[in-house]
Amino acid sequence: MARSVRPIILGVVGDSAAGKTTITRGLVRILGEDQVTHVCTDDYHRYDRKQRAELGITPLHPDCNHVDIAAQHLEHLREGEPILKPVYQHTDGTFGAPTYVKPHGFTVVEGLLGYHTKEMRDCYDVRVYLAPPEELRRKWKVQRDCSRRGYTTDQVLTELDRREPDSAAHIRPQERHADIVVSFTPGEEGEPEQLDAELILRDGLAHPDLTPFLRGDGRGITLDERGSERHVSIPGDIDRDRAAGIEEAIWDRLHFATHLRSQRLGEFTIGTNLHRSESLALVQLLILYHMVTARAAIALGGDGARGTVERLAPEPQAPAAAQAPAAVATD
Amino acid sequence: MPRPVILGVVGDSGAGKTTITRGLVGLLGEDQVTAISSDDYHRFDRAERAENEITPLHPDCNYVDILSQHLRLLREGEPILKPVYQHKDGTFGRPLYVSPNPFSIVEGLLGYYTEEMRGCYDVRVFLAPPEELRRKWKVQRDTSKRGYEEEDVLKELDKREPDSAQFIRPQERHSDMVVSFSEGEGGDPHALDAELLLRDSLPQPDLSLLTDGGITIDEGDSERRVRIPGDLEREQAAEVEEAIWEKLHFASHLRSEKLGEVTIGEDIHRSESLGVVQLLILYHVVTAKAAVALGGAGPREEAEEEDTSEDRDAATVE
Repeated sequence: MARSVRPIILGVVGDSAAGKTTITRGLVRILGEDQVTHVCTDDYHRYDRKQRAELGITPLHPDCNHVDIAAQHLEHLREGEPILKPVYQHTDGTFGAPTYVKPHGFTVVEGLLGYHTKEMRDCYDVRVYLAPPEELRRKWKVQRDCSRRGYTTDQVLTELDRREPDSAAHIRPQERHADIVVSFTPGEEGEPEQLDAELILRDGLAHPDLTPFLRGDGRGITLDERGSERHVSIPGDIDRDRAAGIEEAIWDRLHFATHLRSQRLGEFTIGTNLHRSESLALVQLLILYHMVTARAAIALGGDGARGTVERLAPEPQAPAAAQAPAAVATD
Repeated sequence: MPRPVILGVVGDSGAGKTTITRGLVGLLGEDQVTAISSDDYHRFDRAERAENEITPLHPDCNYVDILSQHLRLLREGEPILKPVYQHKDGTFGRPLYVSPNPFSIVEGLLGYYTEEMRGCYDVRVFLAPPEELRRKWKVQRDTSKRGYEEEDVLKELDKREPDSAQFIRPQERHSDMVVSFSEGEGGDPHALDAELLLRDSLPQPDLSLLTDGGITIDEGDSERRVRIPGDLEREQAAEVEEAIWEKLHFASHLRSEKLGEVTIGEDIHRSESLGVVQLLILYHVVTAKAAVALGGAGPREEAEEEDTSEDRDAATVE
């Protein structure tokens, strides 16, 4: 079997209804449906809904998932090998016939426990974690589970309470393994199209420089350097021209991939209505930036985005301008 | 844990794969053996096969690449999430988490189809009963255990014949041991003669001392043909078995009476020739296990190092 360039793997991890599908949908559209293999780790549940009820275990618990098989399948996908993926059916909580999945140029893995083991974490080129405030996530989960999965509000709220200990013990601690942490929060107006985006950008990846966009007229982004992290706030009501300027600058760094610029980013649905959010679009573009950069680097024989940073990164605590390559131990 | 030892039992549908392996599993211990059927790796369910007019014998009707991947994982001692094909209704069920045990027995139709797969086995057995006998066995099994009518089974056999000739039977040449049971003169179903072809790809035990009890051996260049008559007396069989167990002195705790059992319908019968065949297979499996446990690569690798030219020939890709 001829082996082409290995696929790029994006992880989008977060608790149930944290916005994983909303984030990835725009990326899939821009990269092309036929270029992206989509894997959801819910398929790796060990127990079906009935068994979970009997055992009193939540799907957030590692013991409730075939974590080792998920890791194995991720490794296969990264190596460009096909997998026979299990299928968990949210409609009735049972397992269906497995499906044959061939890795495409990009693989997006979304799920609850994607960064649970080191073996898994090592498979991703880009690791995103979604951390909306709990209050907002509860609202989103009620909206989705009532409209699309046939539950009542009471059922969803009870389930959320039941899951809270596992969420605290197993899901939220994964945040620290992410390259990008995304928290959408309601602004003062509380408009769903105008959620503020708070980002933590970590040094594991080389993020584009946003400092040129900190000043100017109207509402713009703010940036706060904290050790090896940068905290970026993108206001939900960011000035449209300023947003366009940032997008332009990022696309400029992706000059080899301008053919991807045909689809709009930032779209999301509430019920069946389509909305657009500037802050969501910018977050998606930042993620896309890393996927596209990793792809280009690998096509040219490099290790991908993470490998490049590890090779070029200065000593921790060294001045920002240091150029001497130094090995940096990660994680 | 040293890596698991993998036995392949390949042959056409109804060739006797389960009969051969059942005794081995019984002897090695259910909790020591991971038994995999390659039928689980069908790509299409029964309804889809009918629509596509494809037989389960065709490589395109199977996830050959996934089977190969799972074989490799089992050999490396990794768990797999195995698909499950349900013979009773021809659909797929919920996949099953399978932990590797010290032994894996992989039985199926296309187990030696690719070089990658062939490289995973420590012992490769191929079952090649005469077609007439296999048809009889398949009718018996499919009408009693899988709910088919005799007429439908015969029709299906005819439909499958071209794929059987093209894809299943050619795998014979990749095996270390070819087993053909055939009806002797009496036609007694539990006194079948066993014809064995033993190839040099594995070091075979010396059987020349065993020929007085009616067993005949025909030495070829890189293979030996052994004939075990179906009417072998119990004492003669016991003598042969004793000699093989003698070579497996480190595994005498495994000895039991479970070899040689055949079920016909609901009844259990005993066949001396089957018992000897199973013990010969066990010999290789147990020897490989011992070699691997002691840090060796396994008898196949050692045989290949000693005799590269002939073995390479036997392992040529189709």
